[in-house]
Amino acid sequence: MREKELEKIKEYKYGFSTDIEDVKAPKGLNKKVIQFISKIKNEPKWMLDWRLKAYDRLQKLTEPDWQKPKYPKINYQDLYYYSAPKSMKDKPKNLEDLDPKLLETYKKLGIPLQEQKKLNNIAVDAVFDSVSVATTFKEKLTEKGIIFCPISEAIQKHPDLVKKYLGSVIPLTDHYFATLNSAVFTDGSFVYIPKNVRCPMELSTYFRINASETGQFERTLIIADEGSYVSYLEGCTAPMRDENQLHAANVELIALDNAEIKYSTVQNWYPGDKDGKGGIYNFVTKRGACRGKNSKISWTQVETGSAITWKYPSCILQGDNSVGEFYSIAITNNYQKADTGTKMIHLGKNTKSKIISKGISAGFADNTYRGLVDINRKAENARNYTQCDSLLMGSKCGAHTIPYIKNKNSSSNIEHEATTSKISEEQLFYCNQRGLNQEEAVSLIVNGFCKDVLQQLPMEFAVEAQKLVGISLEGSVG
Amino acid sequence: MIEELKNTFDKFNKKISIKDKIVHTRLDNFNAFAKIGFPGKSLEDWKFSNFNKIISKFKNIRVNLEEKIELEFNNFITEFEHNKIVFVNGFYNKHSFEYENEDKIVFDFLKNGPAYKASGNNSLNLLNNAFFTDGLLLNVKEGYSFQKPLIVYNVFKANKNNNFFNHKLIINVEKNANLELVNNNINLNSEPIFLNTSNFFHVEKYAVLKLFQINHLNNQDLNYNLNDATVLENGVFENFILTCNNEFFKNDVFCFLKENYSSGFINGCILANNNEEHEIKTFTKHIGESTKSYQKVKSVLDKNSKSIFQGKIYVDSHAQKTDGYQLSKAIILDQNSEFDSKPELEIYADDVKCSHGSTSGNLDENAIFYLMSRGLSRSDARKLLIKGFLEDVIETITSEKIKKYFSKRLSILLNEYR
Repeated sequence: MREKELEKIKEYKYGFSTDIEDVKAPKGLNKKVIQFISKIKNEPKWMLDWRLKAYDRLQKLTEPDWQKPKYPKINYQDLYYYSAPKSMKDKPKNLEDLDPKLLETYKKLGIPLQEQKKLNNIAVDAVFDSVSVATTFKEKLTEKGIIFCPISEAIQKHPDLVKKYLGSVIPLTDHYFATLNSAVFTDGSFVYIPKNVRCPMELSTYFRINASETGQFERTLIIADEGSYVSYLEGCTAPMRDENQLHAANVELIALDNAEIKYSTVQNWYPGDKDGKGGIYNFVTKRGACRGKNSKISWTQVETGSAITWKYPSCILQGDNSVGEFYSIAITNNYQKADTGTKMIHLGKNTKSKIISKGISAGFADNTYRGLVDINRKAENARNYTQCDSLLMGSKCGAHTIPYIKNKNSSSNIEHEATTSKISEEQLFYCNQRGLNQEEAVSLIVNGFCKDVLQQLPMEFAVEAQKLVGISLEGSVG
Repeated sequence: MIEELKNTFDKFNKKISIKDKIVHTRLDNFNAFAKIGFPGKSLEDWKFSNFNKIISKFKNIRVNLEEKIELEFNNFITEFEHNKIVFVNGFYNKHSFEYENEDKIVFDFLKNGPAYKASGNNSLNLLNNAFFTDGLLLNVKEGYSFQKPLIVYNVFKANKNNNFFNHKLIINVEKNANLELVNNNINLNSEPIFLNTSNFFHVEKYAVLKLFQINHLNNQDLNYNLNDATVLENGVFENFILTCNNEFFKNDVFCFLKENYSSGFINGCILANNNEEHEIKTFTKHIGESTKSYQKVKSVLDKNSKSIFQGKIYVDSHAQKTDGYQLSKAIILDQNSEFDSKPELEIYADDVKCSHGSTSGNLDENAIFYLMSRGLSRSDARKLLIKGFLEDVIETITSEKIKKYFSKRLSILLNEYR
């Protein structure tokens, strides 16, 4: 019995759940729960009104169903919309006050909260279930005028900024899951980089779903003011549970004149077991607006986890000369499904976008790239380059490419190419011949296949991601 | 609009259908159509075009069976010798198979049936099943190769009371047989027409069917064309489309590569000018092993026009060793034109080689400069570049005479460009 459990844990390294007393909102989705969340967060009235407006809007919407991976209907009334570690009620002043069990959890995850923090030079905001539990490196950031805090704190301390930008990229009237998030979001990160400041370190958030039957709805808002730069990392894990859990986050990025935002994600939510039981539904809305001239938003994602990944980090290139980039690796194994890609909406003149997407599909998995490149009539000299490659391992999996390309401007240039193939026997043979076993060979070839994207990740993440690529595909060959 | 069409249909059905069974099946088809209506933007297959808006400009859809048309028809295509079948206003007029051994050909017309069951959700095909007046049923017997190409002339002399035409081709090419077919739609009057055609092809083992489509329609005409081809072992289906001069043209090609070693090639040149909207949509389904499919579509757009390429390659999990390739390119010549493309791959087998490419942009200024520096006028330089761009697709035609004809036709059409 014990062996069996150990075996299970080996499969998913982050599959432990921490025994921490938590405070939950009553089950179900209704106005009372929203009021409860708003009250417990001590939110001002405008925020509550905003949430209720989203809730009203939600009643009129239906879930989208055009996506490739189908999933059983989610009973929204049977979910907890708020779950927080109990000790959070009296928020810890510093790290020493944190629940030791929580710290232990983060240690297991390898998140630099305590002693490592000084070594790694990464400021971390950790979100446990629905609330932000710890933010590090605060003083150093404050010195520069950078605001990096849980969004619930920002609502209280910087209401002007939040009011101005929240929902300005993903409006209340967006699709079902985004609106659901607007109504019930519990916490997330808020970043503001003031004018002409280059953020001295990587900012990072770590998300973890702990409690069962919980949906995690976090909201991230990043504003890069004129001439600033920020690089932001996001990582996620969840314990192993047999039932499916919903994760519907919203991420909004705003880059003003000459600003640059780099957003990297390593997503490793629990993917379900070998037979496709359990796992996270990762239905996330990520959107960035290049509002200012010469601004740049770059998305990098490594998607290895989740039962279903369904997200399209997008760029709205409003400012002239703005640049949008999207680098993605999506790996699906066993019964995992991914439907991911990007949208590049060119509105300003001389806007540029680049899409590199690598999909790897093994076992019984389905991997879809779905993307939109839309060049508006006024987007003179716009330029887009898209490359999406898929790799298939085994004859039971699928790889699909669905690009939408709309060009309304004669001076613009769009290039798109895609290929689908398997790992060639010659390559494998070559590696085998030089003493690598089958799995090492596959890992090496896949890492090579993904190199274009892995290069984009910040150093600390690149190593982890490289390992993750190998782990995700373990047992898929032979 | 559909209400009005219903009245037209009731009168039409009474007149045209002789047997009860056909009356009912036609009605079933119409009812199925009425339920769905004209295709809207919410349908994935019609995502890029607004057909309801286009059809609403077309105020009165009328069908008139009374009129007898007398037509002295001379060959429209004189560049090469050919067999011909002529349909006028949707009805059989005459035919000649002077170059062929008629024992090896079986043909009939579809005027009095058979009836086609209402199935599927392609509303324009349902509408065709309800309204078709005539068509060609052709079987090329085993081992017979046509000596000369066969041209199907669809000639229209439309007027206000007769402007909606539905036509069908049902063609079977038996084992080892060979057919080159040219489908040519011609509108002789200036009255706008709505032409809705559904064609079905069956290519048996080792058989070859080459289908070429060209229209001589006017710039207010609407044309929806459906080609549905099934290809058996080692069979080849080749489809080439040149679109020009009609307000709306959508060519919907389904190609089922059902057995091993079958192949399907769908290529096209789109010339869209003066507010026109042209689309080529292909769906290639690889079911057999070692099947092959190619699509190459190139568009040239000018003066507020729009062109769309939607291509889908589906590879079944049994279809190992599939070779699939899609290429769509567009040159946009003016500020108000638009090119939309959706090259889609859906793959469930691992030992495949599938790729697609799509590009769009303007003419290369450096290339224009190069040609002008050698003495060409700007307009000639542009024309030469466009011709070269499109000629690449015409090169894919495997029949010499027909290739020459299309190349010549292209040159004539390009004279209208700046």
